[in-house]
Amino acid sequence: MAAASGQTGVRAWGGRLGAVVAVTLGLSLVGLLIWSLLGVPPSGRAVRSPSVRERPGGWLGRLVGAGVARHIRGRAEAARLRTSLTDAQVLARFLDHTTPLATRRLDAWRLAARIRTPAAKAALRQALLSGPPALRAVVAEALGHSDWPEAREWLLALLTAPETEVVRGAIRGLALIGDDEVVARLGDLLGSAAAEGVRVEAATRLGEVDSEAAFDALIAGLEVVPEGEVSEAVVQSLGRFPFARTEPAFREMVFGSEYGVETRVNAVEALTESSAAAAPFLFEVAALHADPAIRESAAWALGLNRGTGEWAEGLLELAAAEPDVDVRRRLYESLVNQVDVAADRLLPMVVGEADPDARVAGANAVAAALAGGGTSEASRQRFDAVLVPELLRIAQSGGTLNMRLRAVFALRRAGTAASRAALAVLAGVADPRVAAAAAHGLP
Amino acid sequence: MSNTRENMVVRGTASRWPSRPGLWCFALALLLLPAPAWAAVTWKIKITPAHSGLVVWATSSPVASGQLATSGSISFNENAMVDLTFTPNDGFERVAVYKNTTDWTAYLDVNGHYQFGPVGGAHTILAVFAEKTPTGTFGVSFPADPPASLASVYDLTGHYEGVSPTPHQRAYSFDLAQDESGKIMGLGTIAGMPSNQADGKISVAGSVKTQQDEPRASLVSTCTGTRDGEDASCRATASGPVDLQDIGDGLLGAEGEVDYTARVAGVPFQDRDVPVAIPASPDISRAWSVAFTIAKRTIGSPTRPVSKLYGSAELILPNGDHVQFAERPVSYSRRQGYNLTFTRGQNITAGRPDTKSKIMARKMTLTETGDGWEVQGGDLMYWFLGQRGKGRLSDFTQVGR
Repeated sequence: MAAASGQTGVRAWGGRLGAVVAVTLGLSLVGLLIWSLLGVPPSGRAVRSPSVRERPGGWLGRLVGAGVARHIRGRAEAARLRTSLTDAQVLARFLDHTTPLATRRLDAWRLAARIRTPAAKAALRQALLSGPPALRAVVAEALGHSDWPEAREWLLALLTAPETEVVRGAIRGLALIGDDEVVARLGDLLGSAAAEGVRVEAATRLGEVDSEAAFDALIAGLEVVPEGEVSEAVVQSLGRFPFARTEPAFREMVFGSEYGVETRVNAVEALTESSAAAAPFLFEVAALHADPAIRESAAWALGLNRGTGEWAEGLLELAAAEPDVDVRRRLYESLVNQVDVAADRLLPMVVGEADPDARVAGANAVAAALAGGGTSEASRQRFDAVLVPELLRIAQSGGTLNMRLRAVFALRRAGTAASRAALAVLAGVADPRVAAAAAHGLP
Repeated sequence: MSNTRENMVVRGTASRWPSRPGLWCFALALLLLPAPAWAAVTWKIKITPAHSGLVVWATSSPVASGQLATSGSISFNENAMVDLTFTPNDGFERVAVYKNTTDWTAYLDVNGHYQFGPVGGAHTILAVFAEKTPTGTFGVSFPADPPASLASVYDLTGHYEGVSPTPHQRAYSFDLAQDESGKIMGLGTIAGMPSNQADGKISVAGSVKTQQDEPRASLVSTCTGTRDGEDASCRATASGPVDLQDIGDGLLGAEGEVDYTARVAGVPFQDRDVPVAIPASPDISRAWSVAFTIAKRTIGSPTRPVSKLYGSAELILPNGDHVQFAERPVSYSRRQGYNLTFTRGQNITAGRPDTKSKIMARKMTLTETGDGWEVQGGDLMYWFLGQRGKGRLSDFTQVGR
């Protein structure tokens, strides 16, 4: 009996271990799938990104997460850095001026981030000093991936280069280094007389440096830079910082009287990349701002912010009361990304829309709600009876391709028998783009 | 007997020289009687506005010729024949010719010439020219191979599929639709990824905007689901430039660096400047064109007619939409050309107003060709599909209309 229970115990532990391994492998697989679409990260120094991060729950989760991330990054990095060439051959190819710039760029990265020999450093230094502007820009950026202390000084010296392209490359490299002194130098560029392209690059890259200094530089930049492309880049970068820190600035931009419509729209849409804490603010703007163009942008941005998902009730209330059809259209688009949408309440609103774009956007929201479950059979039947024929007609009409495809998307989302039948019809229409999109929705 | 004093005087004065009274009569006759054939006639020639045209002249008596580039006068003998040719300078056209107050325009031949004479009196000839105003339709299109300074505007609507270029190759397949604001909606799959959609698809949303004269796409994809009983929901954001290039194997695609953040089952992943090369949809397009139409209309009463210029525009977007901008008054000057601004058009394809598209031409100058006008210089600024750009009109391709 004891032996039997011992064996049972071993099998139980084996099972648990197997489960842990399976979970780890599963998480790795899913992570790899994300990266398989988006590409492979470069190696080199630690990633610097805005601290809009959400901590995984629990110490085990963090441990597993960090380990998985390191493992996946290492594998992906190795894949990217792998070449069939020796280090000497990479160096020779980089030095060959007939090599295409895109290849020299990758080689510069390899030389700076992986090979890192004295010969590699010398080659990069020489290219930085005497190469054509495009190559110098590429090398400057690659040097940001290196650990060579002198790279920092080389890049700082390039901030006064006459060629805008070279200065922009230096900014990209410096942003990878990102210490406070470097950040201060980049911040100084924002309000300087440097070319607009240089200042926009500085504003953009400051948004990728996760530090108080970068945040302060951007806030200071907002005060001195007039409205235009540079301020737009500053606002976009600020949008990547946690909303708790940026709320006063965004509130002033959106609700204050100093800024034009374009800046306000830009500010609201920049918050798609902010923390979940920006979601209530976006809802407030969508509900209360006097300008429908701003409400429209806020409604759309709320659907993309990481805090989206739980706003179904609020968005439905807004859509029911909103007088502007373009705002309602974006509210419907945001509803697609919410959970527990009351399709029974949404469906009559959508059916009552006269504007085709709003109707199609609403149909997508209804269809997503149907797919989410918890919808009455009566709503499903009404969707099939009223909206499916209309979506079928729109997808076949001579309207814009954008609207026709969105009608197809609504049919794909719904998953009802009538919507599948409509997709089957559309898969045979003359327009190959609509036909293909419909066919992709069929099993 | 006739030996009177008078007789003696007559005999005495029957000499070779005219008498004094005769001399006076002759002088008086010279003054009063019409001038003989060799007397000078002077015509004033006025050209208005200054430096707008040329008057080429030739006279038969004396035989002489010349030209007047500014107002002046010509002199010739009475009864001479006088040929005048009225030629506008570049950028000008002949409007009217007056002889004193009589409109002589209709008598000119096709070359702007008339022969006056035999001329007897002094006259004033007024030659009226006016700046030529280019009218008609002038079109430009975005070049197939644009210079680096010219920002592209992309329509990303279409289907994207491929296999990820990593050792763990995963098939992906997405359909995207981009609207007039550059906002994107899409559905698709990544092999092995869970989905909360009925058809197993992953939902995508995002936008395309211009940054540093380069279109940049930002996308957010979400999925919910489980794998092996564990939460495997995900949210991934990625942004990167949209720039069609040859990415190898004869494929056109977007090549550049993307930034992304992802959270998979609570595990965060993020990185930036990740080099990627994603095959583009065959439907992706950045081709667009604009045609400006300028017409001159006469308004006002019949007794007080006024000529005014009106301009309209038609924009054909990269997604094939036609946006029509209604006619509005415009003005022209020879040095500055046209300054045109068109907003708030009508999307004919969608059948709705378009408040997102805008096009401006600044200092658009035109040059006359054999059968019309061609855009010569100036700048063009454009906003549509959520993106924008500006460039010199000479960098665009002329479109014949």
